[in-house]
Amino acid sequence: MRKDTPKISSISGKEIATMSAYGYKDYTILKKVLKILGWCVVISVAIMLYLSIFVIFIYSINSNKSVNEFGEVTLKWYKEIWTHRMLRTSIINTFAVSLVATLLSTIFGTLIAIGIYSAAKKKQKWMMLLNNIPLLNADIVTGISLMLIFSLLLRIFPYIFGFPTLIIAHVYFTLPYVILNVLPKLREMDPNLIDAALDLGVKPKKAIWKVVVPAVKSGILSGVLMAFTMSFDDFVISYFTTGNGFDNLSIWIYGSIGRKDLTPAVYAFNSLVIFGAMAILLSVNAVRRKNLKRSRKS
Amino acid sequence: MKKVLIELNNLSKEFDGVNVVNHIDLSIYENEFLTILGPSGCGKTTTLRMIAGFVKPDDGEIIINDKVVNELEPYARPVNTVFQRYALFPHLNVIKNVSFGLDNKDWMSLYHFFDGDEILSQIRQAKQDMQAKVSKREIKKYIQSRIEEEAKRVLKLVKLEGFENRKVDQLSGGQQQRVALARALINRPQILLLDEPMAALDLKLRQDMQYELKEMQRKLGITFIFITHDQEEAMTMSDRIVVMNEGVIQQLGTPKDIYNEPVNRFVANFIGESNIMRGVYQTTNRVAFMNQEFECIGYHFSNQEEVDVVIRPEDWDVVPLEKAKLRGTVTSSIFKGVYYEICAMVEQMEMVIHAYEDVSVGATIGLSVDPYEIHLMKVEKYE
Amino acid sequence: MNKRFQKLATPYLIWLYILALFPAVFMFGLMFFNMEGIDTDEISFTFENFKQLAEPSTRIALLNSLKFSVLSTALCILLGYITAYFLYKSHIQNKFLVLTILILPMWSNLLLRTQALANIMEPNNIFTSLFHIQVKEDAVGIAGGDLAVIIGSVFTYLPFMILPIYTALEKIDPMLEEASLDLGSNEFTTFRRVTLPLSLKGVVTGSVMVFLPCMSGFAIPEILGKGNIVMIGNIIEQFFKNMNYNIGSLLAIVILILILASIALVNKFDKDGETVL
Repeated sequence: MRKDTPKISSISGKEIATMSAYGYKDYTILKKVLKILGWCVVISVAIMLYLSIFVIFIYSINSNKSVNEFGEVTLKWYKEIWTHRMLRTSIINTFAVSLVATLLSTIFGTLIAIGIYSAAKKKQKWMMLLNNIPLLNADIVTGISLMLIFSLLLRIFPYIFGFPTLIIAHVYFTLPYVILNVLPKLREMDPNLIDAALDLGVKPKKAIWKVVVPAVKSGILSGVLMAFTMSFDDFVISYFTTGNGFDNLSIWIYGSIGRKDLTPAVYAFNSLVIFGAMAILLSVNAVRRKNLKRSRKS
Repeated sequence: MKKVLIELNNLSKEFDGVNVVNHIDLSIYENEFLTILGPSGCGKTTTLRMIAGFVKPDDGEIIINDKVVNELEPYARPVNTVFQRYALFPHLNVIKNVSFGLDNKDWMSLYHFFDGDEILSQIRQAKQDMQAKVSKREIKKYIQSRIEEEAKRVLKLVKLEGFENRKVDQLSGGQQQRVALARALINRPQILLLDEPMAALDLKLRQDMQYELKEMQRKLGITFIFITHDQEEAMTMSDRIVVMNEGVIQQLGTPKDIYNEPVNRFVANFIGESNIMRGVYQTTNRVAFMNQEFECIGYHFSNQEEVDVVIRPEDWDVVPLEKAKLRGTVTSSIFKGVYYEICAMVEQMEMVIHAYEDVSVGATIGLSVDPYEIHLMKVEKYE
Repeated sequence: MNKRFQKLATPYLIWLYILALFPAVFMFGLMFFNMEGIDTDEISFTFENFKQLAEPSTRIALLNSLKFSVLSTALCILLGYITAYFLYKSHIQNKFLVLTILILPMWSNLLLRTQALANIMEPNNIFTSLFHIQVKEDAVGIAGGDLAVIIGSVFTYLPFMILPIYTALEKIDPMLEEASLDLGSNEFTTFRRVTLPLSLKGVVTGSVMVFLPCMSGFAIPEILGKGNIVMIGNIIEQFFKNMNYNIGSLLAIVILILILASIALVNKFDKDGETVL
C-alpha cells in the first residue's frame, strides 16, 4: 500500500482528512468519467429525436423532388402547400379533427376528472384502471375496436364513417390525457375549497367554473397540449376509423408513400408546424418563467 | 479540559448574494449536547448541512478530529443526521431502514466498523482453530449476522421492538422519528446532527421525546448537535446553546447564562419574554431608567454610558404603593395557569409582569425589582 | 370534495364500457365465426380460425414482433434512463422545458419521420448528395434490415420512455438521497439502493409504453423493413383490409392479452398512475 504524506491545510495548518482513512475509496475520477459519458448519451439522444426532423427540413428547401439528391435551396414547396389541393384538404381535415376533438376532450375530461375525484375510493380505482385502457392499448387494437363498433352503427347511421367517427375516436384516446393531467391538480387543491364556495351560496355549476377550473388550469393546459399533440400525430387509429374518402394528413401521406408520389410540399408543411410549435412552446415557457420569477420575488 | 471534537473555523456560505452563514467560529466538545437556536433563515440549517457535508463552505474550515473535512464526502464523515421530515426510505421496511447504513457501507469501512481482528478471532473461535484460514465469504456472513444483531439492538434502544417488518408509512409520526434516530445511531457516529426533528410532533409527544433524547445522549456519549427554533426545547435539553441570527452567532453559553445574561436585544427578546428599556449607567452599581435610579450588581460600564436594561416579567415584584419605586396602571390581566400575566403602563411604556395574585384592570400597582434581577447590556451601535 | 359531483363521471364509465370493453368481447366472439366483414348473412360457427395461429407466417410475425420490441424496449430503457437521470440531476428545475423538448418531435408526422429515416439509411442519401460524398457502387445501406427497424422504433418511441422515468425521478424526495449518503453509502450504492428502486415504476410504465406500440405497430416495419420484415401488426392490418374480421380479431385478441398483462403490471408498480403521463 502506498503511503501518502498527509496534505496540510493552508489556513489552519491542520491535516486534511482523506477518504481512505475512513475506509472509502475515492471515486472522483470515475464519477467525472461517468458524467461525461452520460452527457454524451444525452446529446446522442437529442440527435436521435431531432435527426429526422432536420432531414425533413432539408427536403423542404430542396429544389430537387428526389429525396436522395440535393438541388438548390428553394422555398417553392412552401408556396405549394396552399396550391396542392389534396394536401390542402387533408391539412384542413387534420386541423378540424384535432381542434374539435381537443376542445371536446378538454371540456368533458375536466368534468370527468372532477367526477372521478369526487367518487368513492373503490370506484376511483376502477375508473382509473379503465382510463388506462385507451392510453396503454395498442393503437391497432383501439383502431379495430372502434371500427367494429362503428360498423355496427352503420345500419342506423349509414354515413357515419368519416368526420364523425374520427371525432369520436380522437376524443376516445385523448380524454385520458386530459383526465390524467387534471386529476393530480385536483388532488393538490384544498378539499374545502368547493364546500366553501357552496357554503357561500354559489350554485354547483358556477362553483366548478369559478372555483375548481381556475385552481386546476395548469393541469388543463398541459392536458390540452398533450391531447392536441396525440390527436395531431395519430395515424393508426385514424386509418381504421375513417371512411368516405375523408383523409387526414397521416392517412394521405401513407397513401402517397405507397403510391410513391409524395409531394415535397408536405415536408414544407411539416417543417412549418415544427417551427410554429417551437415558437409557441418556447414563448409559453418564457411567460411561465417570468411568472415564476415574479411570484418568487413577492 | 474537555476534548474539542468539531471546530468551525471562520465558516461562511453565500446563497444568491446573501451571507447565510457569515464567518462563524465555534468549538464543539466531545459528549456534548449543543443546540443551535434561531429564527428561520438564521443560517442554522446551512451550518448543519455544512457539517454533514451536503453544502460546501465558500470560506473557512470544518475540522473534525483535528482534520480538515471540507472536501470529505458526506458518506465518509463520522457524522449522521436525523432529518426534519425523517426521510425514511419508503421502499424498505423498518428493520431494513435501520440497517441501511451498515448494509451499504463500503467494504473496508464496514470491516473496520466491526474491528477486523475481532471478526477473525471470532470466526476462528467458532471453528476452534486459531490458525484457520478465513475466507471473505465467511467474513461477509459473519458481518451480516452482526448487522442483524445491531439493528435489533438499536431498535430496542428506541423502544421499537416488534416493529421490524412494518412498512414505514404505517408508522405514526413519533414512531417514524424513532426509526430515523435508530437508523442514524446504528452507525455509531461520533456526532449526531438533528435538524428540527420534533417540528412535526404534537406537544405531549415532543416533551417526552426531549427527555428521552437527552437521556440517550448521556447514555451513548455521542455529541448531539440539535437545531431548533423553539427556545423552550433548547433550554430543556442543551448543555450549551448557540443563538444565531442573520448568519452570525449572537451568543454562546449554557441555557442559564443565556437566559439570565443575554448579550443583546435580539437574544433577550428571542429567549423568553423580557422588558427591555434604555437606561444610563450612572456610577458603579447604579443605573437610571424610567426616571428612577436603581441599584444593580456586577456590571461595569463607563459612567454616563447608555445601556439596555432587561427585566424578565417574573422578576418584577408587585408591592404596596408606598414601598414601590415605580407605579403603573394595569391594562390587562390574564390567568395563565400558574401565574397571571399582567400588562401595565409604566412611564408611558408597556411592561409585562408575571404575578401570583390577580389585580383588577385600571388599578394602580406598585412595582419594585431586586438589584440582582436587573440585567444590563451594551447598546449595539447599528440600532 | 362534494359527493354531488361524482355523477359527472358516470357517462364516462358508460362510454368506456361501450368503446373499450364491449369491442373486446365482440372480438372475442368473432374469433369463433366465419363470415364476410360483419355481414351476418353467411355466418357460420367454426374453430378453423385458430389454425391461423399455427401457420408459419403468423408464428414468424409473432416472433419478429417479440424480438424487435424486446430489443427496442431494452435499448430505450438504457438510453432513456441515462437521459432522464442526467436531465433530473442537471437541476434544470423546469419540467415544462424538458417536456417541450421531448414532445416537440411528435408534432412532426410519424410517417414522414419514419420515411426520412428510411431515406438516410440508403447508401445514396440526402447527406451524401449535400456534401458530395462519393459512395461506392456496391455499398448497401441498412434500410430493409433488422437494424433499421430497431433504430426506427428506438428513435420514435424514446420520448415515451424518458418521460415516465423523468417523472418518477422527480417525485423522489431529494432528502432520501441525502439520507443515504449521510448513512455511509457512496453515490453508486445510493443510486442502486435508493434512486433506482424508487424510479422503477417509471421504467415499468415506460417499458409498456414503448413495448406495446413496437409490438403492434405496422408502419415502422413496413417503411423501414421495406416489406422484408413482417410483424404481427402487418398481418392484422392485412386481414382487416381483406374484410376477414374473424382471423383479424383472433390475432388482435392475442395482442390484447399482452396489453391487459401490461396494464396489470403498470397498475402493480404504480398504483396511483403517477408516471403514466
